[in-house]
Amino acid sequence: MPDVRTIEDINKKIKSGDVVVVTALEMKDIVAEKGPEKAAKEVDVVTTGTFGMTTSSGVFINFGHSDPQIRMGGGEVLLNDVPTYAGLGSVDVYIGTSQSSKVHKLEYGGGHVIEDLVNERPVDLKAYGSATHCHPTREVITTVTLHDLNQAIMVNPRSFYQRYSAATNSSDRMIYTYLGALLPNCGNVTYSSAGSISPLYNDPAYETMGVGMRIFLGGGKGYIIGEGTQHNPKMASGSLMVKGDLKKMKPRYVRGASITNYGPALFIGGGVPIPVLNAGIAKNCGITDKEIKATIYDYYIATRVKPVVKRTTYQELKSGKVIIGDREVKCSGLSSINMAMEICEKLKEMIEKGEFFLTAPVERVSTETVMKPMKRLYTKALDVMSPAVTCSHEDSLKDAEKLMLDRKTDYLVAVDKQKHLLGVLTSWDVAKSLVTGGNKVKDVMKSKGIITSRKDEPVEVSAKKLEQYRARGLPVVDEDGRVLGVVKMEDIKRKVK
Amino acid sequence: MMGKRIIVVFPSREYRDSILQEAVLKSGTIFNTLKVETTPTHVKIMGEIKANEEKSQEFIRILKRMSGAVKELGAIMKFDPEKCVACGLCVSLCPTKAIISNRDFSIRYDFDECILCMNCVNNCPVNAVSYLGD
Repeated sequence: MPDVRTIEDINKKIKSGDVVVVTALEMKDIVAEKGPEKAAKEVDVVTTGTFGMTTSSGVFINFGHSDPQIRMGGGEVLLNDVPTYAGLGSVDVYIGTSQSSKVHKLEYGGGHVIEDLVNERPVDLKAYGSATHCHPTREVITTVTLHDLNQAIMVNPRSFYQRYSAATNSSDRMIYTYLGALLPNCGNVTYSSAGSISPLYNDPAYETMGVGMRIFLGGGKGYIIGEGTQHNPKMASGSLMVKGDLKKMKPRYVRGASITNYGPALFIGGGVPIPVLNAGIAKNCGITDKEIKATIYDYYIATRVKPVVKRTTYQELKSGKVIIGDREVKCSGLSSINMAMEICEKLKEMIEKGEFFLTAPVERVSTETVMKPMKRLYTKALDVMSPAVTCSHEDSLKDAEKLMLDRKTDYLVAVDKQKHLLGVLTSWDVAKSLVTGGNKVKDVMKSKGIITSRKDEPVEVSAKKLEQYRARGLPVVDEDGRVLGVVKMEDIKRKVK
Repeated sequence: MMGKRIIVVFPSREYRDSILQEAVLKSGTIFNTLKVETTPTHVKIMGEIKANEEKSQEFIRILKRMSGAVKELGAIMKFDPEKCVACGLCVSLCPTKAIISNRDFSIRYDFDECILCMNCVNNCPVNAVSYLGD
């Protein structure tokens, strides 16, 4: 689509005070009413915002040198008893938001230290280094405030995360997750996004976003410095890496948090001004909550891939009530929509007052990155299974029995020539044949509704299936239904030993 | 209507199961039991009287006559809007209508509806809501 203006044009208008800025919420109505073409002509900038709880963020700190000097690098450095990462130069550390305090554990952590710093509260510094010729001091115990630090630069590896799943809990007891406490029997649903006003939903192809783009971060100005960790553009689940100067941030937008029975985190306010360069960008900013899909997963199942409870939209989530089955369930967020809306307004005000100018990205955020799961995090059914003792379904029962005796097993798998699963035969089935009759394997074997294991299934899941269905064994099958082996409780127990 | 919240402690030997019903019948009030703590020596009941001041005082007098020690409570839950970031987590954890998400997604607390389940207190990420204790 042809561009109607450039970033320079917008900056000139900011300077002259003629710039037209609207919040993402206002833009929805404008696009719906006038269409993207007309909206693009009228509006220069759309402000988006988010105020979410982040765990993947932190601050680089330089304390300045003590006299005589200390080499903190490689030593141990604590701020209010929260350990920092000190594997850097002599007086540089990185404090991560989700690091727990050694004293207060989950109640206080890196996020709270950052909040204390922004509020200019004194923070206890304990540093232990190894004495060297040039850095003879072994220990420094003092208090510091934000003002005392040379630098305090927030660098968040993953911010503005586009899509979190929504969570519920099907079990009969309360569980605690990173999406908050979940009541038993799907008693509530929680989610974590501002939906249609959050930055990445308004620019889903990252057309305007990239390295060097100036943003609102924690009440001050920050910059996008690249794609964030877990950036997954193909699944509409992007993230950004951002930086900002902690010394310029405002306490209102930087709040330490603690998720009960999960750990510390940081609420951080972020806003991205989207320049409306053409009608395509205007159209994207017209996205509504109705168009944003969300999936509610059952967080009771602690595997990476969780069962889907319901596919819905942000419109339903934000309404505060979700229908699950035939029940109305209360639903609420973890990302403050109220604060996100405030940030949209605040950023709008900053641009209108000429305090905030836009920058063009040096390089756009990737749309190609693919996110992979961790390699071999878990033991798979494939790793513990034993070879299957197989027979043909046409074999006589006598042969099958003989095979069981020879191979000292009570569990046979009936397969065809290509090793496709046809049925399973246990010694119990053979015993039953004395009464029910039948001469061949196919007459007595179990052939319908056989419970199997996927080859890459975590072994915990196989164990649960064995228990739930009281099965003697589970045939392990590949994608085409070919039998690779059998997993039995004995196999799993052997692995655990 | 905001009821009057009280704690009444009875020595175990004086306590009967029907003691509250008697007081309710005699004074003509409504009493909503919120918490009962039973120990070998005493029974401690926290609850809310729903009646006008005159009847509430009558109810308390009757409890005292039945050898209950009564303490009137002021506000027992406190919400600090300065600390609240309106994340909304507490809203879906509340079993009653004590926590409401406004149209602008800010949070409003109505402690008249509160049954002291403590879900909000235990789960608030910024400790914006607290229980003042008994």
